Amino acid sequence: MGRHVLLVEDEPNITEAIRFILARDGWEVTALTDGAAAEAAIRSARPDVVILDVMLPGRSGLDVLAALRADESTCNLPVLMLTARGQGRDRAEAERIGASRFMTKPFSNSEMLATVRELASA
Amino acid sequence: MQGIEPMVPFNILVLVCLAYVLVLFVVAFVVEHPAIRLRARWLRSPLVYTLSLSIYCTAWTFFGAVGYAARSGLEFLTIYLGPTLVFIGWWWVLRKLVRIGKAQRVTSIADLISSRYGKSNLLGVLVTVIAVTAATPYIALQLQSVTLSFGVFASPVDTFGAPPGKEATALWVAVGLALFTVLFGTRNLDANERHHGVVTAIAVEAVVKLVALLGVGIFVVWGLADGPAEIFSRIEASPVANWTLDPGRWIGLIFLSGAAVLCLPRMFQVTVVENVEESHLATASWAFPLYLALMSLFVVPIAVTGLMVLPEGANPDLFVLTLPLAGGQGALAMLAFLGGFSSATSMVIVAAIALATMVSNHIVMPFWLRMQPSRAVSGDVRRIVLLSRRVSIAGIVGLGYAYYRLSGGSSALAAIGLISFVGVAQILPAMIGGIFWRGATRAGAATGMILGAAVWAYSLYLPSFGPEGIISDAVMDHGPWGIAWLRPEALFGIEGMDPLIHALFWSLTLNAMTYCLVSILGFPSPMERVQGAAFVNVFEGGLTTGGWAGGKAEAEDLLILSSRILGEDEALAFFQAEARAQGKEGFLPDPTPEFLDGLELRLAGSVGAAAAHAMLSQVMGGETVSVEDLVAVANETAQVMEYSAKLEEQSEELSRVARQLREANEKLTQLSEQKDAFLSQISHELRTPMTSIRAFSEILMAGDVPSEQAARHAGIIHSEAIRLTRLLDDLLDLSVLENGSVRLDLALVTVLELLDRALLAAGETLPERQFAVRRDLPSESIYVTTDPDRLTQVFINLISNARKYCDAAQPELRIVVRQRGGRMIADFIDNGTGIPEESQALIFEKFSRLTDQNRAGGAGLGLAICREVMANLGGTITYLPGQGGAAFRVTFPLRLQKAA
Amino acid sequence: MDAARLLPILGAFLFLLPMLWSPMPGEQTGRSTAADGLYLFLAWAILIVLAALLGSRLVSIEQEKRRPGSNPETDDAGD
Repeated sequence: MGRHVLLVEDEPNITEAIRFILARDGWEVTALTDGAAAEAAIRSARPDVVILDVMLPGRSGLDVLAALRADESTCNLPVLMLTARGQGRDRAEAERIGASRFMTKPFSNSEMLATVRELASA
Repeated sequence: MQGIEPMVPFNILVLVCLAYVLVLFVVAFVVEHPAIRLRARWLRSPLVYTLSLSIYCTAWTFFGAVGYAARSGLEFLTIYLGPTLVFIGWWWVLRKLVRIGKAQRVTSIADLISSRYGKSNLLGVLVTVIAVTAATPYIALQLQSVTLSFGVFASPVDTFGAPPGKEATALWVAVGLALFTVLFGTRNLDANERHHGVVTAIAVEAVVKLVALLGVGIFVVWGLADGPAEIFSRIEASPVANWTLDPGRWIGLIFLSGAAVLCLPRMFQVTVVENVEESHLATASWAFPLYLALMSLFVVPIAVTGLMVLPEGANPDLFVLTLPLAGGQGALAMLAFLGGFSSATSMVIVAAIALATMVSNHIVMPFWLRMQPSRAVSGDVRRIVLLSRRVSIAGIVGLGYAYYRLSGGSSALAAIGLISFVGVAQILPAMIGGIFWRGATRAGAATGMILGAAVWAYSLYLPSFGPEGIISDAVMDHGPWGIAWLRPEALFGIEGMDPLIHALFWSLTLNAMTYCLVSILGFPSPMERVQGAAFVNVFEGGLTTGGWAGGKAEAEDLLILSSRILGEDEALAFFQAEARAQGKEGFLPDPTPEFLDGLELRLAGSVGAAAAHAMLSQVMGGETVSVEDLVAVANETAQVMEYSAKLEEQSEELSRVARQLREANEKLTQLSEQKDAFLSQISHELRTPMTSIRAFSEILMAGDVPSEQAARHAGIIHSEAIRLTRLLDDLLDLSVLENGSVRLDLALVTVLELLDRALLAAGETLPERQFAVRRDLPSESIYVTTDPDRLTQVFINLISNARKYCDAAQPELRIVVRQRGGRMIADFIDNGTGIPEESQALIFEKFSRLTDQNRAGGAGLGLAICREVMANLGGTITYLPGQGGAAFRVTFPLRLQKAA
Repeated sequence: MDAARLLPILGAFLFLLPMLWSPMPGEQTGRSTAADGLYLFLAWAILIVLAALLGSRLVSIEQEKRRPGSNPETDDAGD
């Protein structure tokens, strides 16, 4: 079971929080801020779990997810989508495109950890 | 006088008249009482309708027919044969007129013509002028006959006081009639211009007339002679039998009287406007000719007997009075006097009401509305309408009196009546053409009527003032400037014609020819086409409208209608304003009475009060032609005239309306999308700091974090909390500003002060950055009255933005302040790369942060707030392109006034 | 309805008829004025009676048509 999480999130403070929570559990966290660069980074880094924010500079998280799902090598990659826009529309859209999990900000730390663990072991 | 013993003292006669008028007034009053109006169905019976038509028989008939017969034998009958033909032929014209009158809520003949030709007020004015001109001598005639009959009756030597002179009598009669008419006809402003009370009183007068004349006739035939057989032989023996039938006059007069019964404003009033039910026409079609026949029945016997019995030189126009007097029948003579009085008063009352309606609706009200400052049309217009009607009534009766004085009361009664007839007959071509011929145009009607009226005035009306009047003998004999073919009674050199027939022939021929020619050569406007179709095709489904219940549809119909009259922009603006006043969004207010009143006023400003009212009733009233019908008719017409330029214009207009509606729809959709986007943005902006706060507080709550790390986490929580607070502050600020409910604290300050404060405050933004500011202090030392805190807030925002986003190596901000007129202009220009053109329009929108790289707090609300602040300060903020960097221009007034 | 339209034409004919037998201007022998008058009133009376008969019939026809369910009037004097 791998221990590598790739996080795409543009808010530095949130990135720091997630990194702290996961690192304590023994995860290796790579953080990115830009949506445009995310796809290539994921392809090359081959993380065990991807955490993807919906609203990203450069490219929407939903776009990135769609690109990942379209590619055979990444179509089964566990992806946890995060959004701060509290609307059901984002969740429905993410599930349609193929998000493994979907969480709304703010989230509870334990839930975040549990979800990442579950996704990695699946 | 004339050798007959006068029998009644003058003041008794006056008392009798007053009592009679009082009875009539009571009748009118009682009938208009709502309770009675509901109960007494017979008031709306065809009988009352028919009797009210009898105002055709004025004093001219009552007294004058006998005089006419004494002079010209049976020719007097033509005056009644013409209307008889029109009424037994009601299926042709009258039925259509009445139907149109109802469908279009026509208020007068002027309104009919104006409405038919595209609600043209010009035509309304024209018809009104013709009608008033023609009616004036006619009213004078009534005054004269009442005055003469007073003179016959009242004893010249009187213990209770001598009767006043002729002029004084006429004046008092005129004043009395005017007062009476005002009291009768303008007690209230009936929505549909109907006067049940007056009509009933007129019907009573009609009975008095008929009974009086029949009474005198019976007295003459069986009292003064031995029955019909003797009368028969007397006729043969009398000079009356020497008359010869002039075929030209016979045909011409039958035609003329038929035209007059259609075109006389007072006849139109009782026939069309006061008509309660179309089926009454069927009764009137035989009952009115019967009334006319009965009125004419004893005319020749009375004339013949008068000529035989009464002394040489007795005025035959007064035989109806003088014969009973000579026969010692005082009561009968009094009845005859009242009959004549009835004839005169009923004519004057109805004519004055009809003409006053026309004058008021087509001349006074449009003029008054134009005089009003356009935005301030308010208050009680009905009061103004009533006042203008009353003044018009007085004016019309006054004109009649003036004519009576001018003409000296000399001419024979019948002549004046016929002159009047020829005048109103000028309306006939436009009227008949208007209801049967869709191609007739406004221009045709106007030129035809103007030409016809001019010929009439020149060849008949003006000469009627006599040799001392307007047209001199020389002109009559040799033509103006000696041009023989322009002689008023021998136009184009055609001599030897009877002057009346001559004038009738030329005026109507030229009128009709011009009307047809101009109509054929010209194009009707879309409005004329719609109205023309509605008039000509009034029978096609006019009464079977399905009804479009539901306020919205109605408001929409009203909007379509108003757009046609006011123009789209004005109509849309008006509807939008009304909708807003009702607290609704969009362009369709509820059709409340207030709104309709306002709309009617607005429309009246364009088309005249009557037309406006009629048009609104069309849309609102159930019984009338619906707008759908009008539109359907318009469409049908449209197909016929597919290639005409006018039509393209119309369809352009339609597509413009459609485009506007589409745009409005798009805007609404956009607005709703924007609202969604805004909410989701706010959600994002609030949840983002909350995410950090929650995550780190949970970490801290777990309690196993080293203290220096805990301090760092606490720091993050703190700064995110501040960010959250600032965001909420901004949102609140924005909502206050957008609602316009912001309170401004005005003060007198220099721009210099404000910029100093702003620079100081903005220095906290990225304090580590080197940042040069270039200012020109003297130009900033201008005092302005504004809200210093709010303006400073804008300056701070602009300066902070420059500090944050200026990407030059040596960032620099130039602030240029200057005064232009009563406004201040402040430019903030930095030396960075500026804002790309495609984004310049967006930066003032909420949450329009361009890049997220340089986030120093703030949620992208700064410039949106600035824009709202400046709007509240009576100023603007705009992006100034082409300055070599990001540049913003702020303008604001030098002296801001506190809003009331 | 056609009768209603023809009636005024008949009336015009009857009323204009006296022109045919009127004497030439200046010819004094002439006709009997009383008889002419009688003729005109007689014609008048006939027309009134005919109009009364037609009028009542037309009204009942109209009312028949206006009854709900029946078609609106398609006839039109303007055709």
